[in-house]
Amino acid sequence: MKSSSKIIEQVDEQLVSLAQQGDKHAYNLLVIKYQHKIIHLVNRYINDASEAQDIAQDTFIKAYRDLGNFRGDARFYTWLYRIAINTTKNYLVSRYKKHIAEAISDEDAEIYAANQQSQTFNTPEQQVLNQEILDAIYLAIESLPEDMRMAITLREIEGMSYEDIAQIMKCPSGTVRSRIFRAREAIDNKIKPLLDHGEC
Amino acid sequence: MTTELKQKISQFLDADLNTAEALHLLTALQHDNEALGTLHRYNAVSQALQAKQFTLVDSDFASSVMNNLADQPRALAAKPVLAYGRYVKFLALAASLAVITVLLLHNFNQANSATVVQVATQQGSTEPLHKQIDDYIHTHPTAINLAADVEVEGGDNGLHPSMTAFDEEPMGQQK
Repeated sequence: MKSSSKIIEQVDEQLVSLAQQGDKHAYNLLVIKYQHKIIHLVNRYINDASEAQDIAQDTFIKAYRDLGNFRGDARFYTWLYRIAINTTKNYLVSRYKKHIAEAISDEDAEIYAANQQSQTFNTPEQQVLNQEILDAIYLAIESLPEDMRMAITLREIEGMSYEDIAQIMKCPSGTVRSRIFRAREAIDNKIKPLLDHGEC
Repeated sequence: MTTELKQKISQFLDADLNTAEALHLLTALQHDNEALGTLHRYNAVSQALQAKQFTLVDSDFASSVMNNLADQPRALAAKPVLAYGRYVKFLALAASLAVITVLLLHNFNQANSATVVQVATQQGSTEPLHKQIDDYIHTHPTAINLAADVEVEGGDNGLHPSMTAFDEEPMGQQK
């Protein structure tokens, strides 16, 4: 099987190519694929869920407008990431937070984000709900059987591939795939009621 | 929603699907809100575990983006003007190289021709012309004598001039 990054690139290439020819359906698929990453990225600097989503939306609209100039020299997500960072910077500047905006560049954005305290501008209700969901996720992981807990931890927190996890756990990669899926299902069953209850 | 579809979503998050499967799944998700919701939640959990912070994403985020795009001009493929510009640059470079090559070859040929002419001239002038004539005269004395000794009959009457060879020495003393 081809490497994960190669598959991601191929899927993106095809979708971008179709979108460049005016296929909005293809662009919608790219939005579906990357919306969480972009919103999460923006949220590191904005810390307001509603504003972060507005900026993420602007990012996707700007990217669509500029898609004709995307030549595939970099990966689509890298290109989108830069647009998101620039859109966020512009937003912060416009809000007279220039001292924060200057701290963000393509190179040190990750470091900056990592050093930021979780200063949040969400409503108290949102903060409570988000923390409650985060706690529920950790609780769900703790209650998983050992093999599933190890598989999901190595995948999500350590970022390992199925093959690497299979080597560590001394089992076929198909088993790893199944364990990770079942772990996700178990976690999803715990958080879905919370999300449905606090739908925003 | 089937377990198989959920498993595909899980694999998709881990880039474990091949290109065709991934595209197929993404297309299916567009028309399946329940499956899209599952993708949202799986993704949210994944991001939360990596960032240790949970961010809730509106389930209709993608729809909102697409609604806003409805008024946007169509995204165009890479501008052909730039591709043409590259082509023109390439042609200009090729033409410049061709001119330089021709000039260099021309100069090289001129230099070679000059050398050949010079060598030929030098070879031709190794013996002066008068020296060659002298040599010829020395080696062909008879021819000269015939001309020199011509005396027309009746020369004494002064009507016919006699011709005398231009030799410095009498012919008889040459050999």
